[in-house]
Amino acid sequence: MSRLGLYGYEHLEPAILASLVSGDPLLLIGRAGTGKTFLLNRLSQALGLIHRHYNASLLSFDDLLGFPVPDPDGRSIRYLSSPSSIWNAESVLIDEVNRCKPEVQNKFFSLLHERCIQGISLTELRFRWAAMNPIQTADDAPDDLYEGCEPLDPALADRFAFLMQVPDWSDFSDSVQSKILSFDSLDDVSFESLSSFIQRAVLRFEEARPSLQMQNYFQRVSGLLQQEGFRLSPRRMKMLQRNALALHAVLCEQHADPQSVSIQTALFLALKYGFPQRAYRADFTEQTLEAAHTTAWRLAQITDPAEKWYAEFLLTDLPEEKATRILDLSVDKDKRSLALVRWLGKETNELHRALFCFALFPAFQFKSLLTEDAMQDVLRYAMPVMHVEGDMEWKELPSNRNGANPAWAPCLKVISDIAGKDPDRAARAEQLFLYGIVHIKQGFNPEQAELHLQACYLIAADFVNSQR
Amino acid sequence: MEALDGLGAFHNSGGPRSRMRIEPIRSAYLENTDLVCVSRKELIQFQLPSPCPDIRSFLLRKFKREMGLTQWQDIYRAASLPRIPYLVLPAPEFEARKSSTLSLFHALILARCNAFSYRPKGEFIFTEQRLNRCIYLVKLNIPKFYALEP
Repeated sequence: MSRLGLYGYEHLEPAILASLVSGDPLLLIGRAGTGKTFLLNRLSQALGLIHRHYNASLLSFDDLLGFPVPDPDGRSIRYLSSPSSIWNAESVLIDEVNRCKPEVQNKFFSLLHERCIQGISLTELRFRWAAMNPIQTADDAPDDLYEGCEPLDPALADRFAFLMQVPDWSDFSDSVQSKILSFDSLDDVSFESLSSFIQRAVLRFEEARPSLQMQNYFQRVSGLLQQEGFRLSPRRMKMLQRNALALHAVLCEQHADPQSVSIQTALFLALKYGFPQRAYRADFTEQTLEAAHTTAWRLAQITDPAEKWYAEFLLTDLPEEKATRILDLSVDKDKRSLALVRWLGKETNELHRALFCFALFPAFQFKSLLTEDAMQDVLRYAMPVMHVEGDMEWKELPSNRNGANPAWAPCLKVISDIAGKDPDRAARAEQLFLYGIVHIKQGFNPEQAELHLQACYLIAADFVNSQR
Repeated sequence: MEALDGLGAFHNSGGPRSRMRIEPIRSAYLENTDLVCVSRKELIQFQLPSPCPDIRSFLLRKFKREMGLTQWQDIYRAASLPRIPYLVLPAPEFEARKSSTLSLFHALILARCNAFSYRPKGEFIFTEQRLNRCIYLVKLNIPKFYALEP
């Protein structure tokens, strides 16, 4: 990046180069004046591309197309090309992409994803780039408030293979700041090697195939991020895999000894710079991605089926998924018991733990699936649900003297909704809710809890039925 | 007062305030008559004299007086304790009062029961907390628990 006149972007270099290798859409996110536009324009210059730079906030879609005129036969329309129309462009930069009108934004979908516009293929177009200011949060300082900026439409964000946050002045070291201040001439800049570097990396990329380990990694990482509330679409999963291959090709080309380049680095960078929520959600942290990557990588390394089962059981979040896994008879009794005891000890969701044990302990007994100690641990959480004894406490407002506990009303609604159809199910739900009301003071969602309980119960019932 | 209650008329005037309500809850899933999933249920109870500084000696004296047994091995053999695990559920006090069963063997069973289960190979732990209890030993009918057809 420094050869292009950009300093402090070194950490982004592999991902930017990978986007040039794969030719997939790239989105830069950063504050005003951080060099996003400069970088992308310089890239096109360095690669000798016919480049179009549009400002989405000022753009009318007709500007991209040129002036429409009927063909001489009067049966079709063609567009008169102008210096600003997109038809012959090899690279296109849509600046301020989160500031344009929704109807224009919608038309970018096909441009970004399929390299076509109005149904007409843009055969010359190689690179699709965009830039935007960061999404706003209520805590942003006045300098960070950009008029008219909106979080990017998730569907549009999902079309960008690479999305990266560029650094600001305060992120730079003293030496980088000095370099930026002393840089005043573009003439020093050398582009010679960029095209040949990209060509070599493209050859490597086209020959690369995803390994089983890589597929495993992406399956794990998507599950882990889903648990954290970040959905990754099937399209995204394919993109992430392509990103990883492109990044690996770039890292190999950059390194003197390509054999020593770790695929793990490529996978992490693919995830980090291919995470679409970066463009529209303020509630994720880099640590979330790092934790998901570390765990997924560790899981992808495990080849022993028992170890894999153990790790997956612990990582599974939903009680019903844990129920399915724990009733897997191919798993050794000691391993099963160990995993269960470990989970029960560290589970912070008391209701999940209680409903799981309540629904499953008879199934465990039925086939002696657990060691005696593990069974005791299960009963420790199951029996207080089987037999609830304690006080229901609540704060009674002056306006509601002698009324019922307000936390009980939603429980009662769930119970009455199912009582007519399945009285046994309602009885189980009531028992769980009473346990929750008496023992779990911080409140819970009765509807969700009942669904988890019922799912675990049915899994256990199926298991017992199949083993009779 | 009632009519004004909740309207904010007593703000800063020492008027009625919110208060904590406490309601005792007791719900035993297996006592629900609609859910017939118990295949066996035994009331087990014992009461130590108070104070009872040496529980083992006290029990040994009782076994000697009532059954002529002086060794723990003989007592365990004679007791023929349950050989399958049971669930332990607290029994209501009125059940204990109306029952006349106060077998010495119950003391042995209770010594083997923790708060949740009777373990046939569990250790005998003779403490006041364990022995002064009134519990049900419950054997669950597992297929019925899961509402499976016989």
